[in-house]
Amino acid sequence: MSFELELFNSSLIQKQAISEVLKMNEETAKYGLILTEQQAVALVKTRSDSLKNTGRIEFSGGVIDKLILAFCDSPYITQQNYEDTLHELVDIFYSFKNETLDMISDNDLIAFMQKSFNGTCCGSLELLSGRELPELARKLNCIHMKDFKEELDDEY
Amino acid sequence: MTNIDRIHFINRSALSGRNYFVSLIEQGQLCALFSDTEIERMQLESLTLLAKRTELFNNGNSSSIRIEKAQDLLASILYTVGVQLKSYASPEDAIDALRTENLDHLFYSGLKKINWKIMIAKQTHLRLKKCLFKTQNVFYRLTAVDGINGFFKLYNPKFSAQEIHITADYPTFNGVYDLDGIEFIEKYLQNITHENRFCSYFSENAVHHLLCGLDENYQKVLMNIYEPVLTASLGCILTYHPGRDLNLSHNDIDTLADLFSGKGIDEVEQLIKNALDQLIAELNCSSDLSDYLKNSITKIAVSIKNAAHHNCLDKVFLIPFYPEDNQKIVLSYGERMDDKSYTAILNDLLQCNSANGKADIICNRISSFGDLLEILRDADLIQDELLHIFRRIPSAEIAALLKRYPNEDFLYDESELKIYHALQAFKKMLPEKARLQLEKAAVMCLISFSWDCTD
Repeated sequence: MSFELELFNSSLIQKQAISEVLKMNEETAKYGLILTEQQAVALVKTRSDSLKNTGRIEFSGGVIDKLILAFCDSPYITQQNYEDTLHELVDIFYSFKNETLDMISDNDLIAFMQKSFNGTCCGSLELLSGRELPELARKLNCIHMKDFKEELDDEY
Repeated sequence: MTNIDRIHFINRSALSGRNYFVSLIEQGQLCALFSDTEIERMQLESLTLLAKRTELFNNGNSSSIRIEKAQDLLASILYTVGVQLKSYASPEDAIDALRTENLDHLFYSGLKKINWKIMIAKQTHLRLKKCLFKTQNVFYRLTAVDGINGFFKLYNPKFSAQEIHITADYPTFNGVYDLDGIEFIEKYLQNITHENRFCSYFSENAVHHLLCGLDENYQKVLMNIYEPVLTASLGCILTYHPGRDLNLSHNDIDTLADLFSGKGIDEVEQLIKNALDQLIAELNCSSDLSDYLKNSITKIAVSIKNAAHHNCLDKVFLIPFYPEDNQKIVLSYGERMDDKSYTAILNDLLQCNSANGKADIICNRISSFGDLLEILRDADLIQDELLHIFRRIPSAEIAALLKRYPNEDFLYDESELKIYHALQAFKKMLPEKARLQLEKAAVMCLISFSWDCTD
């Protein structure tokens, strides 16, 4: 019997994630955004790949649903770029979970991404991943280093 | 027949102390004690449990986690369930529990047991600290007090129950193997408590002198204290001294050599067992300490048997050494002069033509042993000049030079070889009594790097 983390990539869990993504269509339809089953499968695969590339593991349906809910009312997202944008956002999200050393919660990171995307980035994913998020990561890392230094000072 | 013993299917020796849960499942599968459905259920339950623990670990803030952390959490879960499973009367009972109980329930029961073990271990540690045997060996206190304190400070049974965190440098006589987390510390504390209690029967001074017999600098040696104390006290019993004395002599070692000569391991063990029974009676040891002592005998008997075979019983039965009887000459390198002054002296030496003049310069202007060593090497002095200098400097410094250059080995520098040969020539010129005194002083001499320590 195996007690390995690979068990989490079982098809049952993947199917559950796809169904949760498709369920989001009920909410996004009012913004004219719909994902087909094929697109949902592709998104779940992107999530799996991103998790693998970033050395992470996820136990629940994941953040795709949260990203969909946060970005579906964006003025910069249309049915034409909806799927591609979601693929990028999923990738960016996991990458910056690592860059921010897990110091920021899922909800706060998504809220920051949404605010920046709709605000200073004017819908540019390049600006979001190349300027806003690295700046956030830098600030959080500074705080972390400061805390770490204080901790060391206290200890010695 | 009123008692029916359970049939044991599981090979106990194949069960791992560290990975008890997984090894039990493996053995259960080998004996076909689990159905496929049960295995799948346990897998699913373990994953569900991991998901819950991850959520708790993340405080509900993050749905994902780094793989390394997830692996740690899974290891912690498996360890915790293992602690619960070990508490059953037999592995077969543990398998029954796995088949009938939810993994979640086993995990939380295991967590309770771990918390209970922490409480007990803390109490044991508190008692140990209160009556810690006073020894100059730094590792003893460092591990028994500071190391274990560190463990309790860092140990987090909720998310990393399998971690030990500390290295527990001080080695107990009976090592702790195949255990992790609180189980390791629990066993380590049990061992060190027994060993501490045994050592406490002896006077601190007697143990100090005994350990000096092993190594005069035992204070900084990573070694077990209990073993030489137990062996020496058994040696005392076997040579008709009180066990508490720990004062074996060379004659006693000869007696022991005669006693163990040509004996097989069983005979040696029997002799040691008999001596131990006497020692236990003499010290009036408690039953649990007696058991620990009895469990130590086999290992000690092997050491004695081997030492007797190689005619080196004095390495096992230590003879006390009294360092206070051998006074030391401590000479420090002293405070070094600045480079400018040093260069000036060196130039004056190079310009001076007479051996006496050079000796004057060195004796009047060099005040530390460190500078003396440097100048003797740098000034390109010939043997006659060196001999003039040696006649003028204090004998303690000559002794230190002899200690510094005891032989030609590893002397590759020409100037150092010159110093060595000049020292040998100087020694030959001395009357025999003075030469012997100087050689004795060189043996007693300790050259210290400390600035504070002066001659």
